[in-house]
Amino acid sequence: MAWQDIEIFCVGISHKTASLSLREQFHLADVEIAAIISDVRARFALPELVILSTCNRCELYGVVAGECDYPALFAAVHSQLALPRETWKENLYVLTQQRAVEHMLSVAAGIDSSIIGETQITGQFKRAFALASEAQTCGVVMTQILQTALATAKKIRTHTEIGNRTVSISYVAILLAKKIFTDVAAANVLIVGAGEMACIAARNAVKQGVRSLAIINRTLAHAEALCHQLHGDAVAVDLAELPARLAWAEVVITATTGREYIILPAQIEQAQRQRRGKAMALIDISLPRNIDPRCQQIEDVYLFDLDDLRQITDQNLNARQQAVAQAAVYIAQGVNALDKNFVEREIGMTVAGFKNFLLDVVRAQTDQTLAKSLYGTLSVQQRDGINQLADIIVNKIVGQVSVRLKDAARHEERVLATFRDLYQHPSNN
Amino acid sequence: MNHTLFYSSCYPSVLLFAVAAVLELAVFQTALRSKLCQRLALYAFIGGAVTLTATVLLFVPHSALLLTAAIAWVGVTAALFLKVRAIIAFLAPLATLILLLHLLFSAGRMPLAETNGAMLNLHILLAVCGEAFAIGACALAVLYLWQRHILKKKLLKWIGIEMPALDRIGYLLLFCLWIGFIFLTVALLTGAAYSQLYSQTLTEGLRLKITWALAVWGWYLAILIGHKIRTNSPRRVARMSLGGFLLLALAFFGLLWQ
Repeated sequence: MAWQDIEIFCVGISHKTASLSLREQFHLADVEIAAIISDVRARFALPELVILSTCNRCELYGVVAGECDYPALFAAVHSQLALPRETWKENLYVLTQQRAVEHMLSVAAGIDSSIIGETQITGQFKRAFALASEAQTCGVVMTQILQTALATAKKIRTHTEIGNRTVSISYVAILLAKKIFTDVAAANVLIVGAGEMACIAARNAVKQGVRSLAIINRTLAHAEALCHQLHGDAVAVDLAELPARLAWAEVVITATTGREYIILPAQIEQAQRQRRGKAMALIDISLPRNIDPRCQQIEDVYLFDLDDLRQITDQNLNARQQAVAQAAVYIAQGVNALDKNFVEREIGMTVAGFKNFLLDVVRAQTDQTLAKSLYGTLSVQQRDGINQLADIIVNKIVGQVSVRLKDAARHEERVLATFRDLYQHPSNN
Repeated sequence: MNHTLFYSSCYPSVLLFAVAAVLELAVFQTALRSKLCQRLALYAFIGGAVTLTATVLLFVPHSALLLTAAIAWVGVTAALFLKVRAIIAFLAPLATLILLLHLLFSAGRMPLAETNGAMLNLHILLAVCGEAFAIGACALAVLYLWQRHILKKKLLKWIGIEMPALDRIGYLLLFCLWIGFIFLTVALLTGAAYSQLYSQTLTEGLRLKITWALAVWGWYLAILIGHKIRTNSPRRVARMSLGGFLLLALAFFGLLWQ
């Protein structure tokens, strides 16, 4: 890597190194980040600093000019925390330079997430950089990394299987229903239960555009409350109406805490007779099960329980894990692209430094020479002409040198440092 | 007619259908979700349909070529416009098989129009269309039973394969059966009219052909009546469609052998 002038770092904790109980203590809200980021950056004299805080991680990204005590930096960000450093120091990781950039690109693409390939992290990553920009702690280097990270995340999602397969149980339930009904939105959906899982299932059904949704529950008030949460997109039904609703529904999702079967084969057989044998999907996401497994034997009835759904989510998760290897190629490409950008940036800075050095020397020399009495008769215009001539000569020298320097620096990273040593660039002193 | 040129013009189609069949087999066997593989199979199948149609248009065809071309276009329509791309997995090997059998057994036979009149050609064309739709129905029946088997037996590793929903396959299956039945009915009527007008005496071969054709027609009628009146389940309709295909295949290859 050709990042001699800057050190990029990443310091933090994540679901890979710390438990949920520890992570939740380090969590920072956007308001808290906005309040502390500028102060911390100034205290540690960091050219750039970005803070990312999600339920899975709390990480600091930045650029450091010299030495930095990273645990102290992390502690400073969480100064409100009463936890002694010894209790979390082992959970902390510090990555620098290429490894830090690789990690940032992985995080933005969802590869480092607890659910590989989840998309929420990309938005959170963007938000962290937006917060840093607002606080003016995000400079050229971090902006370049952000752009590369977003482009890499997009490539990974487009060209690999990482985000193609759902790993959510309730989404898989809808996916299975779609294998039976082309237009799930047009199907009559019956949800049995009004608890948390039923709520998620109902929300997903509404999200899928289901127009005809009924929620049936032993306590009607709970079903009505859930319907209210769904803004009237569903109708609450008493459990006594179950047989009639079974004949009405194409998709039945059960999610209750009941310990006995609520739906029995005889009920389904009766419903199927009324439905004249149309297909029916029964999805049981409750534990213990609510639908008698013998219902699967009825013609045109397709029953799936939690194990079936988990089997699919596990398959999908495996597929996502396999895609990580493919994603690594895109991350390497992203790091290379950044590397090139940094080389170009460093070449530009070195050439500019060299030009300033030459201009300083030449101007000092011309001023000294023209101050002699021998040239006292020269007019202002003649003096300006001499100065312009000096500038032109400098530009010509810089032009010729920079072409060769760029060429050499692309092949050998030490060239720039050696070159700066030759003309004693201030940064090397 | 240059017979060598005529038969060699079938080779590109055979090759393209075979490539499509192999690629589809690879997609199914390994549960590959390779979009490239699926796309190549589709392109190869379309290529086969186009080259075969060109052969049919350039040369006066045998009924086997007409039938394969019709099957191919039923497949292309289903894949491109009805989003039932998986149908190619069934139709590509079938098209390859029919063409290969045609090349093996029909070489040297006279093409249709050199021996037949316009009315008989119309009858053949209608029968071929009917058979093509019946074969399309059979392909859809296979897809229906396969999809149902996956869902009923919970073969969930296959769930990711790009397949249309059961209700859609069932709907298209009935659609194909109806269209195929209408074509077969009209083909039978034109065949009867032809034999009344031009062929006073029925040969043994023709008698057999008529018997088979009526059996096939009756079978399809039974499927449609069973569905409409007795509300037979889609599974039964699919199974009966496979039976219909068997009857068709026996009739086709039996007559080809004769």
